[in-house]
Amino acid sequence: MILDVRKVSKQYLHADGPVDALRDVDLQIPEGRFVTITGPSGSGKSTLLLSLGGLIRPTSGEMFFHGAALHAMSDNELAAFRREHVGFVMQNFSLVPYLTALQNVMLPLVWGQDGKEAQRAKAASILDGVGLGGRVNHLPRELSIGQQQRVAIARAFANDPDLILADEPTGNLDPSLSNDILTLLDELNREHGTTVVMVTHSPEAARRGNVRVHIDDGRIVEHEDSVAAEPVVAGA
Amino acid sequence: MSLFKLVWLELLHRKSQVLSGLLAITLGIGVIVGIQSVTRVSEIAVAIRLDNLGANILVLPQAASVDDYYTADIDAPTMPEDFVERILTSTLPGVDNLSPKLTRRTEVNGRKVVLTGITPANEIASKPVWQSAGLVGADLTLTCDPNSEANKSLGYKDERLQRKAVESLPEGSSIVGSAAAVRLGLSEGSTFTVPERSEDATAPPTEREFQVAKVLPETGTIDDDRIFVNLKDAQAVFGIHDQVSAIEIMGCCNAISAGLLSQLRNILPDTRITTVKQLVSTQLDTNRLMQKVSLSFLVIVLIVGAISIGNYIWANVNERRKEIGILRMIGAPKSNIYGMLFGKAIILGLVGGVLGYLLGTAAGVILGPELAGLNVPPVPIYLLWAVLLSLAAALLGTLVPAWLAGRIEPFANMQEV
Repeated sequence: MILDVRKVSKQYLHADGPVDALRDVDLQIPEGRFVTITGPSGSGKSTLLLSLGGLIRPTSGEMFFHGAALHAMSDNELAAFRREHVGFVMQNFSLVPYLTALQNVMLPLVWGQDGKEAQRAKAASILDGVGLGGRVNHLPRELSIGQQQRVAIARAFANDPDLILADEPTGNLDPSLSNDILTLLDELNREHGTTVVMVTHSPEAARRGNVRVHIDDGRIVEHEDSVAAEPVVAGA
Repeated sequence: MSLFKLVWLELLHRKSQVLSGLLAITLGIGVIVGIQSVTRVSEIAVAIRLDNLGANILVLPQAASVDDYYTADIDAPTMPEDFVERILTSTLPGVDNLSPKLTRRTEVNGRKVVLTGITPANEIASKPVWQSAGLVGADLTLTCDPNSEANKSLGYKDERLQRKAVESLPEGSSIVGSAAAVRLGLSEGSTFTVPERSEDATAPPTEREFQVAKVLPETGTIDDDRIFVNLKDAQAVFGIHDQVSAIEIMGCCNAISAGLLSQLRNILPDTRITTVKQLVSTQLDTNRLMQKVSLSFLVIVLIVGAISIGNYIWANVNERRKEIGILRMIGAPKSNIYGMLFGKAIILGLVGGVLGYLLGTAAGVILGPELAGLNVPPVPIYLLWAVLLSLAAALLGTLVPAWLAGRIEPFANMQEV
């Protein structure tokens, strides 16, 4: 089990009262799966994803990554966990605007052991793998949104993570580009065996996963494991 | 890719922001360097002008009182003239001029008057008011400023450096105070006689004739009622050879506060040494005031500089919330975020310090002669202080924004949670 979530709850304190984003969530994710999490807006799916990535701390419950207790880690330990084991792909791409595609992909390698040339070679190779070999020196604003999301995916894979967490990665893309991005994630999942957990609004995109979780009002209401993944078509 | 390169790329990306931040710190440092450069030269000028006020230390015979010095009683104690030589050969730092004198009451034209024997070059050198009457005294060297040679290039008028020696007040010549001249009916070129005590006490006194070389302008001091003649003449007239009644010293006020009096007492144990307190305290107070003004500017610039840099870094942090969130998301620990912000502050501090030094120095060199009438030379050591001050202001100003940046959550880059 790469991730083991036990009775996790998360409560936000707002001016007009506390809001329960997650309520006693239990979820076990085997290694190498493509997990999709769906649910209506405000259902808690993004909160669950952030908790899995150690970006926020649950109010109660336990979370384990390969047996390591995420819920008990310090800020610095969580930062180390993220840079060593997790890659993130966000709806807004989350690229640093003044870094080129190559430099954005090199970013997670700053904390690694590789020298500058090795970093550069690795980042260039990954960008080549996502079809951006000719765009390495372009700034994000010089790339199309589809290309920007490819750079984000390349960056997510730069540090050879065990886990990719994707939050609405196709939310800003048209159906054709969405299909390309989902296919890319799918290929990387299959080729590298990297576990992918993807939050999406789209039922079509969700069908790409072989583990499908539906969440509503902070609770998991559906959990299908080892289902056959379907290819995503235009309109996803 | 390294964190330093990341900082550098970010600086290049936001050139206008960096320039405005740099401008703020450069101006701040420039102002303090400029003011400090002018103040430094002004301090020297003021110190010299204060020293120009005249003698500020009195050496009197052990048995004499300060009252004796002013009243010039006929029996007032005296001391050997070679005490002057003893001070001169001691090469004490801070002794700028020595004026030995012998003062006694006598009679001229049947009226009582005080006759003072002086060594003219030294006496005139210590009395700026006399010089306005056209008298010039000895060349003096400033002992309170180690760069006294450099003072000549500073542009201000150091009266002592400009005075030329009068070879002598020839025997038989005199300088007469304004009130004494009126009272005795004396004018330049006229003559008068004073009784001369013979070596032989039983012999009747003889008369010695003096010609008035100069009538002093009114000074408002005891000098107005006195007649000044060559020390040798006075010693002969009063029959007190090789003796003086007082030695006036122009001492550098800094040297006085550093213990000049006790050093003089060591050399001349059988004398009474005192300061003209009002003069010395004025000199010391003025020096302290100048130092306080400098310190005030330093504190103001440090605070204003820190606020300027803090404001820039704060705005920068707010603008980069999403970017900092990205870095935190992919695993940058808080220490890296602090390091990047302080790294940027160090770069700004270093560059701002150097530019501020150049700006302030240029302003001093160019504007000093125009605004203050002083030549303000560059002070290389200020480069070090400018950089240190600039770094301190930049780092101080970054403390709060860095703390706020550390509180940015790693999911701050997401659109919604």
